[in-house]
Amino acid sequence: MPRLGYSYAFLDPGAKRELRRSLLKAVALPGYQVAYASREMPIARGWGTGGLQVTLALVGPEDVVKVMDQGDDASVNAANLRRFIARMAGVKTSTDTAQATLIQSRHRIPEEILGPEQILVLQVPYPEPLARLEPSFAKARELHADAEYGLVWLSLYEDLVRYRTATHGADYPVLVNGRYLMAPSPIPRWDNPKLHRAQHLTLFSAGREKRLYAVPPFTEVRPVEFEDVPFEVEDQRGWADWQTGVRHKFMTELPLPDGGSRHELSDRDYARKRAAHLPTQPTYFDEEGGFYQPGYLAPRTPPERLERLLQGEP
Amino acid sequence: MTTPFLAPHEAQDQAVFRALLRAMSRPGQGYRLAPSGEAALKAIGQALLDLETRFYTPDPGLRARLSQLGARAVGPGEADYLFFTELGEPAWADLEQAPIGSLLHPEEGATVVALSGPAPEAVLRLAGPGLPAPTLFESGLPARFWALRNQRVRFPLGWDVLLLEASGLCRAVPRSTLVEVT
Repeated sequence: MPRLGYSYAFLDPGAKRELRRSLLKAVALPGYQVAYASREMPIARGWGTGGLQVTLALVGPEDVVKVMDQGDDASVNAANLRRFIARMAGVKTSTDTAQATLIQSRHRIPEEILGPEQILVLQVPYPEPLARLEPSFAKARELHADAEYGLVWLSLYEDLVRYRTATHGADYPVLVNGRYLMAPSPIPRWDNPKLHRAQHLTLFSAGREKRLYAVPPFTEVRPVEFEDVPFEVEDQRGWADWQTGVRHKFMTELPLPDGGSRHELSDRDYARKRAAHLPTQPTYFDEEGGFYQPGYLAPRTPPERLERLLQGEP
Repeated sequence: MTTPFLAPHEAQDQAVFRALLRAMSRPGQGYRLAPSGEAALKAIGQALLDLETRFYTPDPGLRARLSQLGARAVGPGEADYLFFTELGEPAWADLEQAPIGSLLHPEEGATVVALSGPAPEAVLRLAGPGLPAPTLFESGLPARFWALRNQRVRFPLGWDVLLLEASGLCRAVPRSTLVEVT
């Protein structure tokens, strides 16, 4: 006896069609934020309703769904979303990145390279990359229309002058397809390069802000950077996972009672496979920390060189 | 735990949408829609149209069928979706009017859905998002169509094209794609 009183995948057919129309336009306009209706969901706005609605608009009986939160499949939020999707769409779920056809994630892209048939759905809290610099959304829309992004480079320059580093930790803005400035959602800078010319489709959705956008496969995604001071990912070169000894993957720092700290792989499914010596897929960053697309990440700027550049020396 | 019922028409809408999403993500590549020919036009209509949308088609039979979905039949200049069972002389004038969106709202640019002929009529070189490298693509639509498309597309403005082949394959050429008629 099927469950009565709910539509398949929870959303009514009209809501799904609206999301689907918006998603197709988003793919045709890489990096552009498409407004959508954002229905009421049985979880509060700000808890992944945007990602959830996109997943529900996509999902079909053949899918295998993975949901993770900061790299962890076991967080309360991820577990609840996964259970809800499975209950409403009758799909298989998996925590294994390689098995999943649809991956909904909050704040991380998996370490293993996603395949061309996989779709990544990222939950977005703040879709507008200009919000820190231009509080009016109407004005920000005009800036996007004119591709007028000078403010962003100016703010990066001011960061370098004041703090000798970019102050964007996560959610570091990127330019998509050479046209639209985009907030990649609060993924660490470590994950930004993974969007560049990726094999897979990435969809972004902000339920509270009612916007969704996309990065199609094989699309240019460039961080905001200067020619002489290139973008840098988090410097975790000296860190190793305390359980497996794995290095050069994104780590979480765990404080210890004695005031010290240890490091743990953030992608828990990848950590599980490594700990159990199970086979893993190739990763975006190899065992020596090299990115899989050589040449995309420039060498880091030594502090002395940055100092000289800021003094106006060549 | 039981799951809500998946009605056959909803299952088809979901499958059609996933094929369209794949096609849009990979310009020029063919993805199978379960129905083919004119039935595929209707299936796309059913998957995407409802009372929130406006459409145009010069084909009276198709217009009647799509109107049943609640979508409003309008002129080509106001339509979100334009459906063509054949592209000939009268279609060019319609396409010239098809909305291309505005810089503030480029998503208001239309989607053009057309049945493509069985024989290749134009060889195109496609490049841009979704394509690992520039690729050649034999299109069953005439070179005139692509010339008009290139004239109307100024990224992010323009319309997105869905081609339906008699074999049941659907291919997309979104406005982000650079099309060179060779």
